[in-house]
Amino acid sequence: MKKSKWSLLLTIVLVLSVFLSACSGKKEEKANGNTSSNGGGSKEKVLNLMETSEIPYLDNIMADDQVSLNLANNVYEGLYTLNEKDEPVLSGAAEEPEEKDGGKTWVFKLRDDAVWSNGDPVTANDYVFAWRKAVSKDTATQYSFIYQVAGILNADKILNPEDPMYNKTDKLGIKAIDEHTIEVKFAGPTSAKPYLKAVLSFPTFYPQPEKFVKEQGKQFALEADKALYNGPFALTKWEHEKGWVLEKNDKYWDKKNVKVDKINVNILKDEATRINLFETGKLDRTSISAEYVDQYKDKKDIFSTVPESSVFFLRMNQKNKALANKNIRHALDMGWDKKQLTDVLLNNGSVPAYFLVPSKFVNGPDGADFREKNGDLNKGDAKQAKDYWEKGLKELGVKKLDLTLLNYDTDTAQKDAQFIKNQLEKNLPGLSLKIKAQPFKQKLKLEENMDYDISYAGWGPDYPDPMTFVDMFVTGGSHNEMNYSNKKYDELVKKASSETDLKKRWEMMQQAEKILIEEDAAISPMYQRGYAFITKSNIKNIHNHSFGGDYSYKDWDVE
Amino acid sequence: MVRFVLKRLLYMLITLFIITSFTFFLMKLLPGSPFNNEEKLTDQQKFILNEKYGLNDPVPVQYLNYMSNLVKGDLGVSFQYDNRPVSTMITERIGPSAVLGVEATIIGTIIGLILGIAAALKHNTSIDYLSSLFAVLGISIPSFVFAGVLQYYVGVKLGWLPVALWDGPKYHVLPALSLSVFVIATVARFMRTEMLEVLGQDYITTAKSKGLSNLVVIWKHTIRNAMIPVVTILGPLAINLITGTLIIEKIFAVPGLGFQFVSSIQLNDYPVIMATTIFYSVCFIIVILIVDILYGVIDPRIRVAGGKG
Amino acid sequence: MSMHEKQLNNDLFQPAVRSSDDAEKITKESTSFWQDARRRLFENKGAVAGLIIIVAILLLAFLGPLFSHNGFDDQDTSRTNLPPRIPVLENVGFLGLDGVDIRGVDQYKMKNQKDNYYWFGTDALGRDQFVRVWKGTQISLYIAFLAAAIDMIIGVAYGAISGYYGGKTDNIMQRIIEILIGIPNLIVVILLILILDPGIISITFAMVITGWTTMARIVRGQILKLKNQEFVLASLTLGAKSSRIVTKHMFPNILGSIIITSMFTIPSAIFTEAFLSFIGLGISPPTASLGSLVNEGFKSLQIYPHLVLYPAVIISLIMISFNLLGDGLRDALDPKMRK
Repeated sequence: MKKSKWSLLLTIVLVLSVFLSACSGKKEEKANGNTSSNGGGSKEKVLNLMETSEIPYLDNIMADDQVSLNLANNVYEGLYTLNEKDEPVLSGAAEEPEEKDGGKTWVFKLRDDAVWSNGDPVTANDYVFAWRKAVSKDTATQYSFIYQVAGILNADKILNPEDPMYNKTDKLGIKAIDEHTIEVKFAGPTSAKPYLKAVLSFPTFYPQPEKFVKEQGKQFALEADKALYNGPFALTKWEHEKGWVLEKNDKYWDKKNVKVDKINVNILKDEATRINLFETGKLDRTSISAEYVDQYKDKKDIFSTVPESSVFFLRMNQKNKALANKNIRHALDMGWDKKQLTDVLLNNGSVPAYFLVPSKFVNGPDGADFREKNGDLNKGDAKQAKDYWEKGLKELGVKKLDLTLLNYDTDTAQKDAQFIKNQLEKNLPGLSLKIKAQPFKQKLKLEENMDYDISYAGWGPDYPDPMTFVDMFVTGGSHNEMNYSNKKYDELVKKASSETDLKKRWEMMQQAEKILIEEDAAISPMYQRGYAFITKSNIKNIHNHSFGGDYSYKDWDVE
Repeated sequence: MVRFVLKRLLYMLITLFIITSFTFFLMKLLPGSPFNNEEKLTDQQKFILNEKYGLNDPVPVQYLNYMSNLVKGDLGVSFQYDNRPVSTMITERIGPSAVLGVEATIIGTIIGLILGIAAALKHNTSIDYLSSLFAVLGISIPSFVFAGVLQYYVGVKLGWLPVALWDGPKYHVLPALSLSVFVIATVARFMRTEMLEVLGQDYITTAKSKGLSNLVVIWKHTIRNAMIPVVTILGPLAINLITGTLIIEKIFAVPGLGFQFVSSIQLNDYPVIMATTIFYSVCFIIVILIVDILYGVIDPRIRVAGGKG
Repeated sequence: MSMHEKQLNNDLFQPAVRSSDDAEKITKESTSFWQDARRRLFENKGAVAGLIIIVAILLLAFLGPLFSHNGFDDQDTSRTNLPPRIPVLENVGFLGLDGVDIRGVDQYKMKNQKDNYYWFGTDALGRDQFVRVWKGTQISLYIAFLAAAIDMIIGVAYGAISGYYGGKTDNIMQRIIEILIGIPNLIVVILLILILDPGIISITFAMVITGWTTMARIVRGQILKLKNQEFVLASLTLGAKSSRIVTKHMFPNILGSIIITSMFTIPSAIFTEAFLSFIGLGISPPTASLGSLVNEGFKSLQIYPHLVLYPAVIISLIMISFNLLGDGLRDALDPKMRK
């Protein structure tokens, strides 16, 4: 009896404690508005934002994902930074470089008022240290290739394990002339790379405080206080897997132009949760998917769509005999309605793609968009597709074709694939398309081994130039992965990469794209991805970048 | 008893060794590399990256390296998160998961026991039917549906409790409740069945005819004897909850361990896969040991330690 | 006293003629254990109701798709995400079957589908949810039976052997379970994807590997409890074989636990299947199962609740009827409940 009383008591205590802990809670958090008065009456401007994952890297050189790159873009600063039109503008560099050696050497004067968050000045040596670190084999950052893209002298040799110069980082084409001057040497003429300054705005090119980094050793950039910041914001709090806080960096040289005082970032992986938090005023901005677009698209003050520069397309593996047939490929490309896919299924500002190089991505030497000249390629209809199909089947001597569509295991990709399957099977009689979803890594492996028929693939730009798309499909290229080969195409890409006449170079790339899609139908472009967002109406001046970090919070404002 | 526990702990080491080894080699069979932008890496880059992390060595060598580090207590560093020690990653994240898991288990067990016992005592009455209906719904509807509904109605529409995030006790209520639904259903279901079973036994009739009060009969003779299946299933269930639940943590933005484990497997973050597996296995094996000991405490006639008969 | 003696003398009594055979004769019709169980099962109203619902769902799963002129993969982007609308019932306001969505917009009117009725609404690709739900039920029912069978065969046998023999056998068998549970399932599943072609066989395979461990542990726990009880000892001393003790004496006593445990296996199997299919091991889309319909529909729970509601209701109905039937079975088969 005694024992049972105790158990009963224990039960009651437990119930009560759970109940109490549920009810008490700590004091209601500060009002969640964007502005809360800050003691003396000056309004503090606060943004409540979200990311979908923990910060993988606070070290800007290691950053290789959207979250890290975006963070680096806001807490650090390099020679250039992108403005709202995605044009590189001076930031860490005081003035445009002085060109030497016929453009093969650039000498940068650094700002002498730029300092790290501990007060130390940002010096030329910090750049040299960081750049050498980036190409070192001990760092092994995934974005080391951007040094090759920029054409920094010897970068390709230092990064090639078979080269005698492998890992000799002091041979990299960067030198500190004095405390605030650096000299950068390039392998080729800089005039062939109109995108060079934009590339230099990439976080892998930002400086790092050598003394501090060495002091911290392995601990560097593992916590908020284990890094120094020279950007408009500083990371002041970082709770792993939960979120982090950015505060205006009061040591920043241009702090008078930073409008927002504080940014709270929460990690929110679930969409419904984000929307519910938005609805209850705890979140200021979130992307939304097709289902929710219908709900919000009429609310003009909060709804917006943002085009992005990633293009999704179907790879058609020419190792497959049927897909080696040009007519079959044309039929598969035209045999389904791309507009319905973007308007009904994706419904988030994505646009149908009849191209490889996205629109509103970069402007040519003439100031016109890359798409303006090439326009839409292979914009056929179901009837045309059927003609191609029948012609193709005849050439192959078959009546039926069984193909497999390799797919991502994500919700949207699975929905898209079902739509494409349904359309193609309806419009191309005799076709049976099986959908094969695979875990991400396995899908990549199958593509690499060219062990698939058709595959749902995508590509985002690594640097602001059509070349990042166009050179994917050269014969034997490591991203070709579909056995495509066209001599004319290879020739054009090769010539364009060393052409210094920018106008000619531009035309060559346009011609190459035409061959790839219009002539060969090597891939079937699906859509250029867009995002739909809902944003609190009092947040102004939002813009996003087509490569590198997504946003520059420096320009954002709260009214 | 002490000898039994020591012996079992020794077995645990052997079991763990087998689990670790199996997982290691199976994991190495997974396709692809542990690097984020794998699709964009060139062969040269892959070589350099593999070299840095010792992935160019033959798998048996990697295995020996890993095991010798493991013996020294070094679990390695994560690939996904910039050289962060895996042990820190687990200790940082286990807190919220464990708190939530314990809360859900306690709430679930208490309510489940009450429902199950009430249903059995009032067999074939409306109480029984209602409790059973609730239990069946709790089993057949996944917890994320409850979570979604609770979040929307209690969090957004009524505004009584926070929608999500993790900032104090208030924030525990909805996720703990969503998680506990399954526990309630499980405990209630098993308790009811076993209670009915036990209530039909001769010794209950004996106890009643001796003139013992109803409460004593139920508490001392019935509930205790009906606990075996509940304990068997509750142990591992609690471990599953405590070591993190992917979907509930995702929905309520709880900074727990659940996501880590799944994403480490999807991204081939080898050290994290290994560490979480070992962590989970240790918890699980210890709980099974406790369950085996509890068998004897609940019903002294049971001897797991001894042999047959 | 004398009067008494006079009235009762021995002549008044005659020995009854009765052979010893007659004493053993049973007048009531004899019933075997199973006959008796069946009788009691059909006397149980709940169990009968459960059985009827199961049969009804089975019939609907196969006949349901015939009620609609749409196939399960007939897409039409002009009729996406329509809420449910049923003739006659559409006039009963509170049922919400009038094609008006939660924002109060008549979607049928807006999308020019005034003459159409989609009983369970349509999904994001404009497919008739009614057909998809019943097609999905077919697959999920198969998975349910499969999971229950695996549990019954592997789980019960494994647990019984482990618990009954105890000692070393038990020790080794339990360690094997620990290893099976310790090795991350997801790794094993991904590796299975690499070697197996997606389809029902690979799902079966994936579930056989670990689907039965809970059942094995429950059965073992129960057997441990039973094996030292008096009736088992009695039977042992009378010279009964192990197999007889397990099947005849212990099995009926743990049947309740077995039935309840398999009730848990079924829904978890239904959702495991959905997950496996999603990552490419199961049935490839556009084919759906109830589990995958719930998973998919959940994403739009707040906007198109009908997408998650109907499959969830059917799963619940299946489970409720299985439980009713299970409870009835337990009562019917339990020797102690015999009247």
